[in-house]
Amino acid sequence: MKENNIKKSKKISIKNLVTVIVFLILIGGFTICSFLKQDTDFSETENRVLTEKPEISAEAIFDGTYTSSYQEYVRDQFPFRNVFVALRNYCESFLNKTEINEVLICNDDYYIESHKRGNYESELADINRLALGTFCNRYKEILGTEHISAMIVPTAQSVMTNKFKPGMYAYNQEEYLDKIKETVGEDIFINTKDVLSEYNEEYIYYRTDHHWTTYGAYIAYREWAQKKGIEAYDMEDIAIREISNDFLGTINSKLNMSMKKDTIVEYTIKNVTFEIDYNMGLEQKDNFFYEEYLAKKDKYSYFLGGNPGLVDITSSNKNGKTLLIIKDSYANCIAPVYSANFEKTYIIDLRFFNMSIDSFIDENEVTDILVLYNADSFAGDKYVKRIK
Amino acid sequence: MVFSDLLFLFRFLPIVLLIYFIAPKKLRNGILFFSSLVFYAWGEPVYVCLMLFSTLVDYVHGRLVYRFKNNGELKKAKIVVASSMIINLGLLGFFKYVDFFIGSVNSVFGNSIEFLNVALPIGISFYTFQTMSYTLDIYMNNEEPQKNIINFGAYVAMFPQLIAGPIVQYRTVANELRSRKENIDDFALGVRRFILGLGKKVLLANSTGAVWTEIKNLPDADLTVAGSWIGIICFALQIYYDFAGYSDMAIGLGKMFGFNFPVNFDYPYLSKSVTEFFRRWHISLGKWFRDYVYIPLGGNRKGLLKQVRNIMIVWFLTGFWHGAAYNFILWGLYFGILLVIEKLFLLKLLNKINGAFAHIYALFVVLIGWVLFEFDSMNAMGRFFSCMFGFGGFSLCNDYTLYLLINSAAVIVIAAVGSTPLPKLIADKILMKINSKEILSAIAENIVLVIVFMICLFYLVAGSYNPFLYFRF
Repeated sequence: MKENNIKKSKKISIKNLVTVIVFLILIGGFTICSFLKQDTDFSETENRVLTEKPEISAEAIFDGTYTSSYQEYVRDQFPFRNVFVALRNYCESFLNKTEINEVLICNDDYYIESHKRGNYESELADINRLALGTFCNRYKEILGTEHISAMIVPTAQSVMTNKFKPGMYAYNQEEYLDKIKETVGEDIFINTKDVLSEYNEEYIYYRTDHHWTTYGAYIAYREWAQKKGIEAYDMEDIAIREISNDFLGTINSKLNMSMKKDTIVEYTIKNVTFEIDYNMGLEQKDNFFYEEYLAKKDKYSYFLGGNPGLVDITSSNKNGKTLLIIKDSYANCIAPVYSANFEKTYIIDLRFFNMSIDSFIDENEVTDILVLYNADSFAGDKYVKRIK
Repeated sequence: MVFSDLLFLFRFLPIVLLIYFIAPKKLRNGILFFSSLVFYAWGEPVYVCLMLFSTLVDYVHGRLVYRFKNNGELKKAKIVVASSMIINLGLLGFFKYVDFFIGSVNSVFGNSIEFLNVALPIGISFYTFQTMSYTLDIYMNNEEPQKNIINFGAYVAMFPQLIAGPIVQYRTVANELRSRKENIDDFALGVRRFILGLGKKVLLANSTGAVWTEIKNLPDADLTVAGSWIGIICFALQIYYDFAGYSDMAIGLGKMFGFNFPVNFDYPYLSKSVTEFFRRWHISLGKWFRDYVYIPLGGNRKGLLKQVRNIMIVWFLTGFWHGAAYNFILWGLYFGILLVIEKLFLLKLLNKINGAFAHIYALFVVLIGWVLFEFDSMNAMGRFFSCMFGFGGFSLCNDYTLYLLINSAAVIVIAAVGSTPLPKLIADKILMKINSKEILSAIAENIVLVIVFMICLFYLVAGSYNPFLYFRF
């Protein structure tokens, strides 16, 4: 040992010199890059505003907000951030992990979010289920059982299990859906799990996004129509148009890895025309679509332009019936089809709608109600309880 | 600030290294002191005053003790030592334990004294122990006090070991504070140690920790017997890599600045008894309690009964040091009792039987210890224990558990193998073979370091999951 040291002290070991230089280049290089890099205001992949450089003030330093937001700032604005996130995930999959960031990496290029049991057995999940029960019971009396439906749709984790790799597991949302079915009653609950599962070899959920495809939504629509005695539009009645084939959705954003792109399709009913009013006079159109989103990351917002609080639709189908859809974004892609079955359709997103639901239904002489959510957002939405 | 953060790696460290090595030697302790204050104040802008106060107290007390002792005024020296202990333990008692005491008083007497909700200052358990060791060393071991307050401040606040140890006794770095020679070879050793420590923390501790967090929070319907064992094994690996990784980073940084900190972990999971485990686990803390509590109480020199008493006192305190909660006391007493039993007869038995059995025994009792350590709610602890041992109606295994195992198998295996000396042995063998070709070994070793560093960087950028477990203590 001692001998070794003496040898070393004679000349500096090349190995050690290289180690020191490499280390200094690594920490110094990234530091300089990070100082020189222009700040990005908004991250489209994450769909959020990135932290800006905080301003120094005595107050901010003493209460600790300056230091913590500066830390946040360095992290958010780090050079090559998106690439590094992707590389991290490639390292994870190199270690044979097939669940990364609560996303299952499945066969056939499917990436499926896996929400855990806790989301469905939370207090909020129960509150929402009971609120829906109360709501359905009330309007069952007023409108009649056949005029009210609750369609809580399983997400891909409980339908596309055929794409799972061997041994893969995700919580089965059916447990929660069964509880909802019991609460609202079998006549009102639309069971979409079984029919969607029948079709799971087809393209009914996006591979890189948490939504179902328009086709998946259409299958559920047919199930609803059949149960409610409504004549569903056939494929022949529908004009199908592919509007994008380079869609990379929210699950892609979560992992940033390279994925096979999704295709978005629009369904419109031939021979039915619409007059549509968005957000009480904010905008009038004759269709449901917002072309401008096709150039952006968030292409699903092509349908309804995101999540407007209230959409008021008048169709050329003068049958005197009025439908109210209380929904999350799962309804957006299929809204054109439902609306064609009614003379008036109101689409409400409770997150952005402040009026009393009861008086709205009363004033607008609603004849039919559809509550349409995916299981995941239904269990975790803070606004659902307002329908109670 | 913590080491495994972009802010530390790409702001603080390069800037401090630059200033430190540009500056003339006599300014370097001052630079270290000042940058350590920035390091600390980054997370605790107000509590930094507390640390400065503790520094000042022991600076003054140390000099007084030395003077009184040299003048033969032992009584006065004793009083000063006592005063230092009271102030330091008072700080620790107030900032770490006051709410625990209030809670205990309330539950025993049924009062409802309001909690003070004191936030725990980071690293207080570490730096108060260091400053106490300084005054005690002067009294007990005739160490010379540090006359220069900047040098003393650099010792107490030194950012590499400030918030999570190793607990550096003053005498181990006294000479280096006065004069040290920073050099390329030591710096390179430091870089190696630091990057490997970073890897332990960011790659292994966080990955095994994620598995444990998932299992710990499973509802009854998902938790299984097999899952609970996988979980606690992952926690054992997490806490080892978290802490050993941090110690490695601290030792590595110390080397870069020319300091030699003591080793803190020595493959603890190789142990074949609890006695051995704690010779290999958090060595600097064990040494602290041995030097300043166990030996002053008489150690093993005053008969078996006193020795048993001393062991139990030390382990009660060790447990309580880890946190102001009953489960930590329980954890300490649990190991205290095991150590006593081993001392009385078990150790002899363990030496006789097959090493594999001794090893299984040690791992088993340590894993049980980690359950005590991890759950501060007695209900949650009880639930977890009953699951581990097949009570409470938990199923043996299910698809979820199997998938968790499949998904994390590679990480667990790597982490488990990494907790033995095997990787080091293999690396040494390979390096021996190519050592004759210096260029080749330089390339090979440095490529490995760069890869580890870059992967850590990917994980740091990607993850906000980066809590340091040892912050609570």
